[in-house]
Amino acid sequence: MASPDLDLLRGTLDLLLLKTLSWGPMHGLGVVRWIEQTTHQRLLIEEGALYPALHRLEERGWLEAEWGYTEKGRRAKYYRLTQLGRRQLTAEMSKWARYSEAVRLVLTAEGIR
Amino acid sequence: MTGPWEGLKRAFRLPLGRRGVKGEVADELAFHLQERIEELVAGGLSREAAEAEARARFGDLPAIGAQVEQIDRRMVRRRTLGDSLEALGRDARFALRALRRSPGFTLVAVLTLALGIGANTAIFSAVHGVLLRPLAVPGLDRLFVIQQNAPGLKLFGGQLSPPQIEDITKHDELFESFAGVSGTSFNLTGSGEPVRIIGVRTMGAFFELFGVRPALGRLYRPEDSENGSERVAVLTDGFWRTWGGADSGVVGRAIELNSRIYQVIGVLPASFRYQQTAQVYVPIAITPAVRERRGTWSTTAIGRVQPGITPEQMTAGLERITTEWRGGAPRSSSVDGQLFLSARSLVAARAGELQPILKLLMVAVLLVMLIGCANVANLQLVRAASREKELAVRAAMGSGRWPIVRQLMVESTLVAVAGGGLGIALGALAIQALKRMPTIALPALQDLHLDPSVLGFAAAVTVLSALVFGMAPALRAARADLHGMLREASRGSSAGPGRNRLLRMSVAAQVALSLMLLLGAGLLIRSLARLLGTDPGFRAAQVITFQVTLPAGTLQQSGYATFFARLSARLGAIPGVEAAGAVNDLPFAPGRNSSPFRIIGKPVAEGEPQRHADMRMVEGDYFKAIGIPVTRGRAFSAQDREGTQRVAVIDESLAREYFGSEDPIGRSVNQGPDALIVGVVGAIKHGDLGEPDKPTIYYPYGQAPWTTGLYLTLRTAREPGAIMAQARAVVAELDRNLPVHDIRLMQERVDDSLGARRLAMLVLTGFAALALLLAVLGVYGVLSYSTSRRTHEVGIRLALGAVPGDVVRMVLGSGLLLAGAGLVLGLAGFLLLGRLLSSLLYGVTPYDPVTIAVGAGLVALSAAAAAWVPARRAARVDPLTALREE
Repeated sequence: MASPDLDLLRGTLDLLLLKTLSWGPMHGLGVVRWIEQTTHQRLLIEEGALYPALHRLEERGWLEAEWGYTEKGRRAKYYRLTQLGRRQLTAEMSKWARYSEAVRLVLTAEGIR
Repeated sequence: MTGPWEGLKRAFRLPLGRRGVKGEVADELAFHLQERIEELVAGGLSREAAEAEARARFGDLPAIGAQVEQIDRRMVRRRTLGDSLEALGRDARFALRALRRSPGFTLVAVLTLALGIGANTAIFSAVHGVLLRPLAVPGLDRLFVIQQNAPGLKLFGGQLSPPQIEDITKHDELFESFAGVSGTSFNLTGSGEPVRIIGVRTMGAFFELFGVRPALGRLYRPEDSENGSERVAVLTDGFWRTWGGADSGVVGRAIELNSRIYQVIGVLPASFRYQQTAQVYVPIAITPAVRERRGTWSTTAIGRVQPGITPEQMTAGLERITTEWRGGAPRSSSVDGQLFLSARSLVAARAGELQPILKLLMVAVLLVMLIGCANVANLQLVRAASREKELAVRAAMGSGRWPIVRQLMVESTLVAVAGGGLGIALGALAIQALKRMPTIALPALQDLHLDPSVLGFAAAVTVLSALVFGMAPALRAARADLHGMLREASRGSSAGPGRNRLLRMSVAAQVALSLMLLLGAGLLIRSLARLLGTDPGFRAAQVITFQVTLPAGTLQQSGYATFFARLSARLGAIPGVEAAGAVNDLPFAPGRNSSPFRIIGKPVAEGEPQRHADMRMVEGDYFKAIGIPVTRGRAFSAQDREGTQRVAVIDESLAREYFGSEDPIGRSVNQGPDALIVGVVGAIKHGDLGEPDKPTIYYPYGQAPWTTGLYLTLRTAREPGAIMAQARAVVAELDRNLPVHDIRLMQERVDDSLGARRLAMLVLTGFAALALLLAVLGVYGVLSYSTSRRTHEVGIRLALGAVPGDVVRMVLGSGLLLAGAGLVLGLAGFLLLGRLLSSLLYGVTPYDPVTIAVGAGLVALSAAAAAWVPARRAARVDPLTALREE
């Protein structure tokens, strides 16, 4: 998804990642697939950009990572939400809700009186 | 799928797996790509197309990889640090708990270290302050005092005269800069009461030598003294604040010194402290008359040598100079022919008489430190031994050696830090106490404070002790066969006998060292006692002394004589004053005049060294006032004045040495002009109660007014304050502008002369007591430990019919054996080193049997006392418990 505002994009990406992982531990590819599925292919993330984001979230302590094995027996790194991450997710979600509400209000306004 | 959320406790706690950060990141990203490629291939793409598509979708693989690696590395670093800190914190808490569990050990170890480090800090501060710090000057190591030595006159380390200094200044191949300096004092008049102030006269590049820049105005230059007429003065910071009122406009002000007007041209910075008490600096006026008097050796010569001059070059250069003075003649046995110059480092010269004492103290401190260290090491060893089992269990449970060693190190660090901190506090207290001690009048000590460099030293010692003492038991713990230990009975590891021997040796050494210190202190105490009991030759009690100095050059010689004669008479007339007199050099006051002399009719025999005697001019009833008995003939009277027969009075030591049983009265001596001997008085000590007698010749001041300042001595039973008030009035009557200064009781002057010795004695005694205490603790500790390990054996003995008394005897015996070994060692050591003390002793030899007996007895008794408690404890052991105990 090409967007000029990098910060906004990163923040949104973090939110999506947190939410995705709130369903359960996944490896990086798993996250990508899930987002593609859920958004019916409408949201296409540059796959590589995922990993720095995941590691940064881990650095912050919102995610925890561990090596594990897939069904096929391959070694993969799984990420999981921490308690701190869960709280952060709630906060970010309510922030997003307020933000999008504010935007909606502006967009549906009736004009200048 | 294995639940990765289950093993979370193991997650990422240690540095990333075996592959490291780079490998793990590569693996993670490779996995992603692999899966994608397979997905695409399954969807129908060719291998190459799938790879290309997957890569394209992924993005810039290397860049992303690098980014992720960076993040991971940051994480690892932070976690490792966090882990280490956490481990350290854990260790510290464990260590505190362990130390609290053995309070005896902790207390004794901390105290021992504290006492050792505290003593070290205090003494090093003193040494630093007195010996090392006084001048913070660039090129200090190249500053030398040049001294004159005239063996023919028995003169060594003497000063020079201004013309001689001028000569040396010309030798710039030797000296970068050269200067002369002499102390003096002035009558300051012109504003209120006349006051006596201390001055310093300088010539040459004095200020340049010390790199001084003026705080205000300017400093005078060498040229200012050469032209001989400039009357300028530079004030010291302290004097500027008092007399100058800290006024920045003081430059240009007139100051009246000895009735002459000088102009203030500058103020010195507060940091310049060539002489602590100086108040004003003036140039030495080198007039033609001064240039002629080459033999007036009363100026100190200081110079900075050129860089790179070796001691040999210095000696050769000085030799060249004296040859020049002899007009090219070589060395010979005449007085002039024997003259030579010597150079002494400025720092060493200023330390003066204090040096031997301070060196002694430093040795004592080091000894105490050694004892303290030995003690703490013992304690550590003993404690480590008793914890072998605990450590073995920990190791067996998988703790690993490094954590154990680390924890032991943390423990000893805590002890060391506590000991060091307490030690520094004790040291600061000790310094304050030293400063306030009334019996020690050493001006250099007034400035004493805890030096930052000394603090650094104390910190270093602390850290070192931590490492040294902690290391041995820690390494031992790491190396020992821990599993073997668990199997063995708790009686001890196979390293037992070795450790025991080490302990015993160390305690014996402590006993030896403390004996040496005790003996040293004992000898000093006896010396001091002897000194205090020495008769100085005069009666110092009830004598008030003060100085009055007339400015030089203001009166004719006869004027001075008349003045002091009148002053003396009027002082004697004060009600309550039994006798009043004056003298040029008072005993136990600074300054001594001496000179060669001849006895008419007794020429110097071949090979006999030249005769030298102290020279005193007295006025009024001096002998009666100060209490010197007249043993033969008469003292001076009013008849002995200018114009009448020149007379002299000699002292008993001169009479004994040169006249023997002959009657000296009626003979003549010559110390300048011929003088007829009319009386003999008792010999006195002039400056130190321990000095040998020096022949002295007294002259009536009226016939020999060769100095313009005298010490007045008043003998009175009345209260000194009242008498002094009247004395001042008398002086003011004769001359309003004359200050009365240096007012002291004679007894004080005598007592003060012992100040340095008292200090040494007090400190050394303190150290000896400390050393003994530590040694006693050591004996106690070792015996406790060894008896506790032998409870099993003791139990058997008791069960087999031994009486508790036998057990006590056994333990006491082993304790006394230990002490005995230490005593023998200490005695041997002291006999070897005792000679080094001789310069400080008086009236006792280093091999004084009484002192040795008392000292050894004290140590033996203390050791016995130390052994008593463990002995009793061992005897009270219940045989059944002892036998049951493994």
